[in-house]
Amino acid sequence: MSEVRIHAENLGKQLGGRWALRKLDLSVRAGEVVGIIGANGAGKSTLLKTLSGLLHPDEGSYRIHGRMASLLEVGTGFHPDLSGRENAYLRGALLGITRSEIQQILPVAAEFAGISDRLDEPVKYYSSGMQVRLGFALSAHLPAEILLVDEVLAVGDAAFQAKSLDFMESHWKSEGRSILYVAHQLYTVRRICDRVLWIEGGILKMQGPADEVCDAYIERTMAQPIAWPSAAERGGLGGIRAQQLDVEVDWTTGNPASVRVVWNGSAHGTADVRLSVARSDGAPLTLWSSLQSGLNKPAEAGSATVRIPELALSQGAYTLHLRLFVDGILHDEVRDAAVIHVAHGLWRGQVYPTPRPMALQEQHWI
Amino acid sequence: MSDVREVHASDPWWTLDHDSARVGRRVAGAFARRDIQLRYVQTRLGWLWALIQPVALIAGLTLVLGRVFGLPDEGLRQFGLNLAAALPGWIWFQYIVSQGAPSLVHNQALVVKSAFPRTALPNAKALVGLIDFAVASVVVGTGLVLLDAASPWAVVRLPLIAVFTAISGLGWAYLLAAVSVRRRDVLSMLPVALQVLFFVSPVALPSANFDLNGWGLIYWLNPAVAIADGFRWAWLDWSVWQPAHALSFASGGIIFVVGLLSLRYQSRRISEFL
Repeated sequence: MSEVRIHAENLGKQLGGRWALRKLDLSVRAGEVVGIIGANGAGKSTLLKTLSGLLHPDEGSYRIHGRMASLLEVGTGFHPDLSGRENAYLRGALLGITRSEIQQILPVAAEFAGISDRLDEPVKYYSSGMQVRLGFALSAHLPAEILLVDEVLAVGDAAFQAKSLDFMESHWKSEGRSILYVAHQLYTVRRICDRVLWIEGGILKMQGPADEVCDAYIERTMAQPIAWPSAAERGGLGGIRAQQLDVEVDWTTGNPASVRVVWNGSAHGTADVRLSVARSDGAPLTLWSSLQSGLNKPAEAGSATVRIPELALSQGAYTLHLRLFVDGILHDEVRDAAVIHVAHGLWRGQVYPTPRPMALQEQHWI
Repeated sequence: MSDVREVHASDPWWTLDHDSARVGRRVAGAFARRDIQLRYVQTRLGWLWALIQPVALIAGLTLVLGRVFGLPDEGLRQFGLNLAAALPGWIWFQYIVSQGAPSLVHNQALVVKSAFPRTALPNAKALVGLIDFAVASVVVGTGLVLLDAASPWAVVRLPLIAVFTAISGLGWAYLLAAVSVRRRDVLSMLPVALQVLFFVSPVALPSANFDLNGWGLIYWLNPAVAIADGFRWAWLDWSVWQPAHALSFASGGIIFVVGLLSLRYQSRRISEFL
């Protein structure tokens, strides 16, 4: 049995008069990567903030063995007039890490971030992407036994995100670090976490192997009816706003399907209705766009329907993200606008035995 | 593994573990370093400013205030000596308070994301001010030796008064920083308050012989009285001590304890409020 790095008992924290976290028991061993999932406001960040010492618990206790670095937000906090190197020393100091230790990791981190030749330039001359990459690279290479990670993967471009995920999977695990990882994209949790805690309303609802907990979580969130946020809470210019999405009840792999989008408002120009089809864990799979398909629909029209001749999605649950553009400008955005359940069916006369929801593709082998 | 941190809900709020104290020193050092590095960025004279500032201030104030009071030449010399002895200490004190008090709010992004001891930020400002103070003290010391006015006791007395200056300045900085987390108003008031404090403190002239009642009591509760007279005692062997000076020294010590406890009390709530 490897040693316990984080041990919390009956941990509770009250914020604004209500319990943001309650009766939480947690134990993380050396070399373990533990994911935390749950809806917004479920208490995930409160847990990390409490363990990192930013909040003092209102009940219970915890014990941390080893040096802990919390990467609550990697891309911020750089001082623009200082060089990348000086900023690295400053960040190290905040975590109790000495200059000489930072000096050791700095070449590797800068290499990883792709900024080795610009380390002594003031950070204000870096692009925002470079700052974010340096932030992640520094945090990722810190000489700490325990890492608290919150949404690190939401940074950088797609290539850097993939590189970061690879790094976490290969290095962090092999180096025997203990990681508590909060993520909003379940597929990253499935990929890098050994064990997952599902927190709901501040209380531990379930814990166990990553796939098991993620599946249960998805089943639960899918069962709830989807309420759209009010227009004021949504992104976009707002000249036109989506009113409803008519989705057929029975969707089957390989069969025709259609979705009708209805909107109101008074923008002028060519509308582009985009439906992005994502797996329920947030991973996007494919895009249906009225403009890309060649339809010049005026924004005044008020509705558009997409017809899919053969549905190229395997059996499972998917979410639709809706966005409305007029002349290239985003007017409305509804994430998780609808959930569709695709029933098992034949795709091009074949049975595709896929364990997970995924996009299918017409293909020719020679 | 040497580092073990254990936290219980029932831990009293004033406790601070040994580990955080170490981190605090490191953070204070790093922030002081940052300030110093940034200070003379894009200036032509750079470090010379650390020399020019005290010299210009002492010369300017001596001439202007000397004219205002209509002093004869001999009086002007004594006035200049009194001012030169006390001014670097006063400037350090007001630097610690004016820079230390807003240091939590100014570094909000770091403070809410990182759990280092909060005293580190005002401490860093005190360190930066210490460098200015040291440079100004060398300038003043050289001047006093040349004018044959320096007391040989300065070597022993200066560090004592310097420590008192840092303690009383930090006390106010801690207290105001803790309050500013909830009430930013104190930061808006601060520049005016310090300006008024300069005029009611005996920086240019030795302390007045006020009675210990009414306004006199408030006068003696000002730690700047002890700082200014203390530096005159150190540099010039000035020694018109009164029993009421004890009150001024005590208020500096008390405000340090009060400030330290306020900031520690507020530390547990900072990331909820900022």
